[in-house]
Amino acid sequence: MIIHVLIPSINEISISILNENGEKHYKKKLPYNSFSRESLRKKLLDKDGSEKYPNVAVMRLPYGGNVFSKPVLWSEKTKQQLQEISYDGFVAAYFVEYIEEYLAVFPDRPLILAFETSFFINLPAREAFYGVDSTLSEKMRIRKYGFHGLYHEYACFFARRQIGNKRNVRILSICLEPKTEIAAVIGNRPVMVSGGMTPLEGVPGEITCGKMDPAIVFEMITEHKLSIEEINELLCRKSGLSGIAEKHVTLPEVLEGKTPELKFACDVFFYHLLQTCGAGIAAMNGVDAIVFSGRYVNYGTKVGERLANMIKPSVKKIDSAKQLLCKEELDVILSQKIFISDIALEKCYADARSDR
Amino acid sequence: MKILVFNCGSSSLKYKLFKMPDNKELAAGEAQRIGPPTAEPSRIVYRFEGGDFQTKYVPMRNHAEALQEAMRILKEKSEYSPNAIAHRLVHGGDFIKHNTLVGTTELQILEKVRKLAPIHNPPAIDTINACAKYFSGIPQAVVSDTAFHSTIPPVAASYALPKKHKKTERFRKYGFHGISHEYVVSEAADFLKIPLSSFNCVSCHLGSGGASLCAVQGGKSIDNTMGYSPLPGLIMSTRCGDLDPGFVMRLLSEYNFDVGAVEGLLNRKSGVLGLSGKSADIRDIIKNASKEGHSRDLLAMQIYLWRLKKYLGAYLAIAGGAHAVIFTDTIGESVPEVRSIVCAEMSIFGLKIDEERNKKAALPICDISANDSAVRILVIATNEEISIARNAYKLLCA
Repeated sequence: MIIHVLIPSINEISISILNENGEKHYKKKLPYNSFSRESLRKKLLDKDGSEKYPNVAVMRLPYGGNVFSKPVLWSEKTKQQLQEISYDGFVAAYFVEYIEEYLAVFPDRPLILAFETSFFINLPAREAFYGVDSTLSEKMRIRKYGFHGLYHEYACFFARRQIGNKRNVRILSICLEPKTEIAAVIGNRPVMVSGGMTPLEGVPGEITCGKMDPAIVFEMITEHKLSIEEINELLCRKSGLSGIAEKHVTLPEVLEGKTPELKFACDVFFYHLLQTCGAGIAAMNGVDAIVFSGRYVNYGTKVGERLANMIKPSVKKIDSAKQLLCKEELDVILSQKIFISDIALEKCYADARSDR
Repeated sequence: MKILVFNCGSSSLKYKLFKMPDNKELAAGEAQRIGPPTAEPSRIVYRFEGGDFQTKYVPMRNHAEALQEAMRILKEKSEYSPNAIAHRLVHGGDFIKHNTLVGTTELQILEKVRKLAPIHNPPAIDTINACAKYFSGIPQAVVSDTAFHSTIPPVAASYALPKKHKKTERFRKYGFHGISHEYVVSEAADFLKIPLSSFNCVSCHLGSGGASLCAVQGGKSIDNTMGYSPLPGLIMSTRCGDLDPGFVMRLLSEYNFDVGAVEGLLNRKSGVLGLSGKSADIRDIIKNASKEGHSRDLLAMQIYLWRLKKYLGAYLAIAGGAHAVIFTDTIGESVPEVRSIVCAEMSIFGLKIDEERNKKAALPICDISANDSAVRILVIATNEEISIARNAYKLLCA
């Protein structure tokens, strides 16, 4: 079986070709501006058009709102649902356009959408909701969604397997990505997540501000006369660890901390990490495993060591919590997602044929 | 030395006269309903030497008039003329980082912080100005809530905003309720017989209006749940607490709210009031939460307590081996259910509450932790005025 995995990120879409065992044959990144049916044909099809033809495709979507609690098969209905949950930060039209370009090349193949937010859709209400008017929250879909659910879900599955699949095992899942996210998970149910209604909230990212007093936005507008667009640019692209370090930096550069600015950015990162882990441990009254995942997972050991030293004076028996690295890449996780989701592949084929 | 302390609210003026360094209260009073006429008349409630409270009804159009009326009462006893005056200032910003004596320069500097706390700073500054005339020649001190938090290290005080951007460089965490936190922390260290300079704890100031947690290391504040403004952090009576900045942006851009409307929504119509839809007081919500048909109350209570519990965990982690957790102010002192739920299942941090002691907690100071709790859990009645007097006394003796 050949599986195509499509992962849109900030500037590009990565396309991987894997088999059913998650073994990768091919990986290519296409910038958004050159993502078209022509370029896809060129990249993904051999001259005879057969070799890389997929049996099924999976696409990662960052946001599924309150609607998508699990992976779904692409259809007209899905398209409509996506457009209904579209907002400023998640413009469904872009993704729909990419999907349609892809399906123009592979029209008879089922495409499954997997959402980063699905894992957190059943967060307890006490964690999911903010301290604002609850009727307003409902009307405007204001709640925490979390934004690295695919990594967290897989990392916790991995951790449970490693430590003997105990039923109510308490896992602190730390996803080391450009926007690092922490989740507290009991068994397979998340009870806390640092990501919020948008990916801005939580631990400062490489370029995003993280937790911030909302009153600062008011002052930026009233005192500094910044427009909403300017503030958006500032908070989403010029802040975070890069803002602190006064230049564009990645998380590994910060963790290496070779200059005073980078060292300070690193201290800020760990300070937020420590607080969030403290909150997660309180949410679970303990921790049995700390599992690292994400593209920077190789830094997990280094982060884990420093974190454990910082938390040791306050948390009893922290040393007995297992530290694990879940090194699986996102495209492999996604390729396996179709087998563990309850979408039967035979049904995919049937639905896809009848839809089109 | 007799120090007269003023603590101004938007429509109130509290005063207390202390004999220092004995911390003895000689007189106390509160001018209520200052300003435009309200449903009830303006009045001053006062007492001498801890006696019964008396009430005097008198119109007071502003804080200067309230000050004059209060001083008329105080003059009834000639032995109560103060040697020094001390004022509470809620937000000193970057201009008044530390508690200070007030001279001509400081009077000018105070004008720069007037806007920082629009409800509390203007009446306090007006009262300082009025005192400069009324008590000419008597030293005045300003004790600010933000001064106690001036020790918050840069790593905790910094927002992850562009550091060198001229429009963002001044945003930092100031922290609030410092006067109350400072008082209970020092009382707790005394009670536990631990030198303040090596005392670590988490102080939970849970008021019926505002609320904040403070992480303390070596007797000094190292973090506070409030931030640049008193808006973030815990769920409060009408303030939302922590919120995704993206939400504010969405209200402004997608729903076309103006800044004033969003500010009003988050400061005055959110928190316990916004969640429950009917009361801003968590005590009402806790009473109703278990009743049938009160699902909004139940949710409001759960969110309030959950946020508090998470922050307690976060702050215990950063305090680095806390000796104590302190509960104070209206809710912290008088609602055992809050203390019980927040401290439950926190044994991983060495916290174990004794439910019987918790129910019977008696003020001004009480240990409600179980005998085998590694971290003590204390309930302490806050006393902001004595804290102000102590700080002023320190300044005057320096």
